[in-house]
Amino acid sequence: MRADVIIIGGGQQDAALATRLLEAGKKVLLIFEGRKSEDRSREEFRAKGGSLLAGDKVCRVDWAEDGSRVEAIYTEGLEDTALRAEAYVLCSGRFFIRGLLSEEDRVWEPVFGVDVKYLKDSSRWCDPDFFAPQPFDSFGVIPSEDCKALKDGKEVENLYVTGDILCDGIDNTEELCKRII
Amino acid sequence: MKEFDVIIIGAGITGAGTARDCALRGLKTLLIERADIADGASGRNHGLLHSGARYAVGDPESACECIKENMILRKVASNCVEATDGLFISLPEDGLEYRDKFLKKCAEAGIHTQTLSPQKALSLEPLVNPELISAVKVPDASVDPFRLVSANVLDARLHGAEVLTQQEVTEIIKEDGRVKGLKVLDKSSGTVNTYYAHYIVNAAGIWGAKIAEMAGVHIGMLPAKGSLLVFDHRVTRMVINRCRKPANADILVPGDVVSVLGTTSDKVPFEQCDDMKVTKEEVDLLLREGCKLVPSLAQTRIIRAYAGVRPLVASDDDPSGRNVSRGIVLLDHLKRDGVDGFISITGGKLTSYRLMAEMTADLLCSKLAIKAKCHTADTPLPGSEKSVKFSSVVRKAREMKMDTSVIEAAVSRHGSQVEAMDFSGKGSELVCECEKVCRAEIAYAVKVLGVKTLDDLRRRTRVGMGPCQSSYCVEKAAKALAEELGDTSLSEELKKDYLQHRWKGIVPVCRAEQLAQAEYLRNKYGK
Ligand SMILES: Cc1cc2nc3c(=O)[nH]c(=O)nc-3n(C[C@H](O)[C@H](O)[C@H](O)COP(=O)(O)OP(=O)(O)OC[C@H]3O[C@@H](n4cnc5c(N)ncnc54)[C@H](O)[C@@H]3O)c2cc1C
Repeated sequence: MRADVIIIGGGQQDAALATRLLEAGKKVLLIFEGRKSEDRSREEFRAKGGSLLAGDKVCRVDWAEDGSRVEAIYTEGLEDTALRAEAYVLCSGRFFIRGLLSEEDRVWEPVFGVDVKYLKDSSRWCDPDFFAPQPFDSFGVIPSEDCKALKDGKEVENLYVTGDILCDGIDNTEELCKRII
Repeated sequence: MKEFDVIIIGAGITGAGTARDCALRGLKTLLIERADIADGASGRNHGLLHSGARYAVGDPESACECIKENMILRKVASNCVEATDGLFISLPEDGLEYRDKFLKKCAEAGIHTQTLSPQKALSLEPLVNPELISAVKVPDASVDPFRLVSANVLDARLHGAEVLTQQEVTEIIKEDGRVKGLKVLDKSSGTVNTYYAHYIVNAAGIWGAKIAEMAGVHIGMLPAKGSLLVFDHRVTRMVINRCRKPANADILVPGDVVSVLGTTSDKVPFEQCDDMKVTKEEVDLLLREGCKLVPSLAQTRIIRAYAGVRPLVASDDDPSGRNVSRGIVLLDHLKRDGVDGFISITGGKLTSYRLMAEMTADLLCSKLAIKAKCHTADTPLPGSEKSVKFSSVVRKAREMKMDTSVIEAAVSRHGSQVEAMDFSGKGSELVCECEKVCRAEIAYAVKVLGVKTLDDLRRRTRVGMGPCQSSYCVEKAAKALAEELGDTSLSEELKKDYLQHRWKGIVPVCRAEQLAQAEYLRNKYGK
């Protein structure tokens, strides 16, 4: 299966972004783990003709040999069906919806394993004041100036990243849309 | 001027138990607590009703005390105790030498044991370390320390004792070398009040060292911090112990809907006792050792960490302070220091509180020349009286078609005291889903148990202590409590105080699944 853009969603802005790209004439596939009934904006996206893969999860990624591009992705539900696109957009949200995972002293992004900014020492992840800004709020995927994700410091040519998964509360939606549309 | 027979300082389990015993014997009793009941070690321990097996090899005297008290509390505090039993498992590195000695010593202390094959043990507890080479079943049990303290305080009051919380003893008044009374700072109003009594009992746990200084006597105390982890469900049915010389992180206790793993043990300076934080190193150590008991703990969500201080008392006959007294320490300061009117009770355990209270009340009665006998070994605490199941309230609630599990939860916490709760109308509204706390219970806690904050409420009803850790119910609970306190404008503040307070226990374990939950909690309430 082929699309112009595949959005690996879950994050808050995934459907809004998907709809926007759709309206700009792109063929968009939105994949996310949750059930579709949970969110009206996702329903709207589908009603407008977008493709939705709800309750499914990316389980494998084919990388170009030199690691510079994503060639295809696969989901648990569609097993061996390669999903291909011009551009992939990672918009899978933060910790609560598993866009980011953590264990002691480590935070990672589980789908592509792209570079994440965080503090190594997990005893510094929280502020003792519940109502203060928490250090973990600033953790997240580091976007390049072109809104792309980095892997071991190198930009991945066709993998964009946006939404609340980004570090430091960065909002690059406008920039990203400009680049993809 | 009001004068009491006895004033007890500290509403931990020792002070609460002593107040109850004194009140039952007819003494005019006042119990004073600087914070809330069970705010010290009594609300920050493992919740294990020791069978004594843990002490059988190293401290036979404590072992004997524990098994006797264990059997008594199962009867008189049945609604606080869950007869889970315990397993002492031997791993290959432990060998069987200790186990053999353990079996012999348990027999000597009167602790019933049953040796199980590894297969049998695994069939009872499938998640214990499958490498175990032996297991011994003992009558350990799980105890709800909050409920136990609360029941003692309530019964003391029902028998005429006065109880003051949020009132801190700041000075002890002495005349001619005799303790006469004390000055107490009322924390809500800022005023200082004076109370007089024939005897003052220092039951202030680790802070008893300071109270003693106020009376001009010295008790050598060493604060020993113990940290624990709470897991989000009951991983095992029984208490799981390691069958070896007691060490770090070798006990897992199922309690209510969660499991508690502990403990560490480290000497800390006195300054730390008021604000203890669990460190990353402690979390790591607990987890590493705990996984040897039950390997799946590595994948189980940790919902909180907390720490308490054990008051270790230096032996009076060792001026270096290195030798620590084992067991119960009852100090008659007239005999020891020539200061009359002052008694200290400390050491011991949660499990042995009743005996400590009995010893203290015996001493007081002999000094006051009162002949009353101790009845706490056979008088059930409120909530543990028989016939509770058939109480009229339960029947009425059934007729009202209320969810009976809610009533049963209230009965399990307050026993026959549910009769003082009004489940009609608003009363039946469920506030905390995990622990099944409804409005009627909250109203009762405000009216009868002196609850002023959500944390006070938590200590008496377990509100917010289940798997969701109040992320779903805090808003509702704050509103309900504010209404019951008669001032709805308090709701926001009650909620904020509570969230800040609970955050402290989340911070040390904020990673993996718990970080995800913490993020949710913050997004919902913290921004
Ligand atoms: C980590 C840990 C785990 C444990 N696990 C177990 C277990 O599983 N089973 C068991 O049987 N025992 C256990 N224990 C032991 C048990 O918790 C303690 O022995 C018991 O709780 C001590 O109770 P207490 O009332 O003497 O002291 P505390 O509970 O500390 O009470 C003292 C009270 O005095 C109050 N106070 C202090 N200063 C003042 C003042 N100036 N004015 C008024 N009030 C004051 C404090 O606020 C406090 O509420 C454990 C202890 C620890 C630390």
